[in-house]
Amino acid sequence: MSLEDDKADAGLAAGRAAEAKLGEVRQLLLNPRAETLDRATTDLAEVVAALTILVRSARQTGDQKWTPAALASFHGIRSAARGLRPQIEHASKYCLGWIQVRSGTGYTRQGFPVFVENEARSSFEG
Amino acid sequence: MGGLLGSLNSSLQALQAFETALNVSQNNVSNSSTPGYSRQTVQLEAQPFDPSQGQDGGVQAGAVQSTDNSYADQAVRDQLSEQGNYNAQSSALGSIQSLFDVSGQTGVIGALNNLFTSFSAWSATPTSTAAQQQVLTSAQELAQSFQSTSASLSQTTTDLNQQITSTVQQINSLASQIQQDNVQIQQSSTPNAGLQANLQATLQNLSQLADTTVTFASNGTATVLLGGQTALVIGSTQYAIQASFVDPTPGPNANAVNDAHILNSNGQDITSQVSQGSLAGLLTVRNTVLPSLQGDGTQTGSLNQLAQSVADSVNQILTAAQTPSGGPGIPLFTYNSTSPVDVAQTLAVNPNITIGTLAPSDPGPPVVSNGAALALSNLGESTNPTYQINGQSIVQFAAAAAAQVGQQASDAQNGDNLHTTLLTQAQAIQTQISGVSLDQEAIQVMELQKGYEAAGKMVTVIDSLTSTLINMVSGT
Repeated sequence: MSLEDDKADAGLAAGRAAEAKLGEVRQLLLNPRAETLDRATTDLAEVVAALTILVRSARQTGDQKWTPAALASFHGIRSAARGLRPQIEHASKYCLGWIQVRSGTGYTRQGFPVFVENEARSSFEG
Repeated sequence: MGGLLGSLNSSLQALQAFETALNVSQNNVSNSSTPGYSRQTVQLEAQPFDPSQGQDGGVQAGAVQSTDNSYADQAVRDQLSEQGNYNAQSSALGSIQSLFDVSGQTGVIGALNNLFTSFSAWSATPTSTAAQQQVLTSAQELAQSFQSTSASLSQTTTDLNQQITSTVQQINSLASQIQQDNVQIQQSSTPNAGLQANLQATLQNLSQLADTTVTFASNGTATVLLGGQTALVIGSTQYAIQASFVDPTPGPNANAVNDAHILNSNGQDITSQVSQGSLAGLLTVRNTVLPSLQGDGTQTGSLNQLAQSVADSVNQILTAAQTPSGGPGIPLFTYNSTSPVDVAQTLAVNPNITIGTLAPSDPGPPVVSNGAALALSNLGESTNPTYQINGQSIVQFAAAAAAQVGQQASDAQNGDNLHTTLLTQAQAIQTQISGVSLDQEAIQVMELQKGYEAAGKMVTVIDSLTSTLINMVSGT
């Protein structure tokens, strides 16, 4: 087995490990607790680290070639990451909206938010 | 009220307050599995203490407050509406997709391929009885395939009409329940947790069927708007909607299937306001996908376009050709030309055509014994504009129509999956936060938001890194 084959195999192994981690992250994101989100972020950081090593290695050798399986795995990772994006964006916006609503004075008896009406302010410069 | 009596009164108030709190707790436990129920809390209010003024302090139970949060409820309802839309589309498109086999093995495309194969065999042996018979058999099968596909689309239309009617009835039924809840809420002097839970559950069921906007009046009654514009319920009044399958202004195509319309209580068309929920999904397939295939008052539909193009092209070549005995060719196909939307369902093999009247020769000059049969075998891929549909060859057009149905079905399935995930997530966040104090709620939501934001940044980096890997190297 040549050095290039070793690198290609390493790419495939890293790619498949990353794909598996992204699958776990998808499940973790469905369990909205601070600790599970921390774990999801840690898993994602590990995927980033693994991919960074692969990119760096490919840049150093200059002529790095991947097997079709490794390339397919990279496409799989990208597709999984893009699949996570709407899920994360939705949850993030959902929480932001909640915080904005919560920034009022609380809720009415019917569960409706009560907003704070700020008085008009003036500023002077000069 | 000072002295011993005041103290006793203060103690009595405290006991009553705690009894109320206990009742509320018990109510929470009893209703922990009730759909739509939100945890209730009792506010213990400190009473003023000033013995000189007869104020003995202590605590008193304040108003019972529901911890439900209209923002979270609306977010869940929004996802239910989105999911309902895609789920209905996915189900309806599944049956249509099976009619258009992209692989070309079955259905109209399969039959079309078989016809062109039979033309090819006939062009190789123009006087072969077996080859001629195969052409007639394949033509018969193609005509039957167009007819059965057209009939299946008509049946799907009928099924969707029933589903739309049923969905509208369900919407009206749920709106009626909300109206009745509103009446009870108006008549109730104190907040009724069970009633509120029932109302929330009904609102969630309704949001699966249509996109609704819900606002609550100060007395606790719900106002429900369809598509943010059309009133379904305001206080104690319900406004029923209805389904109609009559086009107010029919298009030029005779015998065309009318679109489905949703009318408000005044009979005005509000179809365009229905953008989410299963009703929207059904309307999308009924008013957009099906007409694109079977036509409607203003469009021919790709199935009819295909049927007419195949029939006209084949007939044109055959009628210009001649039989081996030198006789004139006759058309292979017939169809009802009264309306362009009737072609597929009426396509048939010409009853007068026989093996003897199949014309394989191009009369020239010079006469080419298999010229017409050869032209027919190449018809599917022809670049001659006369034999094309909208700039595409017959085979390309058929494949594109099938692929479009497949793509729509795939998009609907993906949308269904995504919004099922988002719904699960929204419900999980709501459950996670529900029942904690407002301060805890704020802290938890902020923590979650930070967590999701951090995850989002990581995902962006992963997308960028994998794109770099894919672009910078080539496969071996």
